[in-house]
Amino acid sequence: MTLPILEFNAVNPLTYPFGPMLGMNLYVLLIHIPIVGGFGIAAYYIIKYLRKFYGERPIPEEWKLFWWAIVWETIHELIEVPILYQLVVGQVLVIVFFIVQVIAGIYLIRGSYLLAKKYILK
Amino acid sequence: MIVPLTPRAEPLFFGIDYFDINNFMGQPLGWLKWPTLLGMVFAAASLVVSAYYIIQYTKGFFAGRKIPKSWKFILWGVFITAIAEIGEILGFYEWPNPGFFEMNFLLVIPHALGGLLIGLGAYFLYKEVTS
Repeated sequence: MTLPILEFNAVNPLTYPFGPMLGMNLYVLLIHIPIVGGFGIAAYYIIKYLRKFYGERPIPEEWKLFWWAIVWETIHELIEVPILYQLVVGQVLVIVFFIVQVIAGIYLIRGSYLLAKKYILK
Repeated sequence: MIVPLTPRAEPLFFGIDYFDINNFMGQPLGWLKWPTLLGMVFAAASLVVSAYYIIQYTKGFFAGRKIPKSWKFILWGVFITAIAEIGEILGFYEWPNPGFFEMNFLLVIPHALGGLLIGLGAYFLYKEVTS
């Protein structure tokens, strides 16, 4: 058996992944609010912080990268929802997941490295 | 047609015996085996590296001054999310037989805590320049 190119499944989050155990299914479903929401809120407040702090001045490259890292991490967390619930299954999803993880990781390393750079070189 | 696989009714405490990099969420990966594994390991490693650089940044930027709770929260959020990404590697590759320990203490709870801390940290960062 090989992984299909792309398939969509109708999965009820109240009956999946633990079948008749509604409490466990709700626990898994609700826990995604802080997971996805936390990163989404972080992206929202970081850009608000940067606009407030820098005002008319240009936002430094390291901060732009760090903000983009949080945006990509939010997409990363979001894409894990259809993976867990197997709403979408297939090679396309796995490839997209790989690309998102790599982009998020590169932005995160680059952004935080540039933030720290001048202090590391001291 | 793929049928989503559900974990057994009485989960194992540790599911490491079922860890298999050939299957992702119980589905065979085929040629995507190595890219998937590398992507997942890179995601976890990038958070660890980022946590290191954030420590360097906060140490250097605040140089002796008290590090505000915004950055403490962001740092802990990034570090705890790194643990969650390691748990994710275990959980996704053990499925449909993930261990109770890996799923809860390495994946779900750290993921929620990490997201919450980063979100709160960014909120405090914004509040620090507005109040």
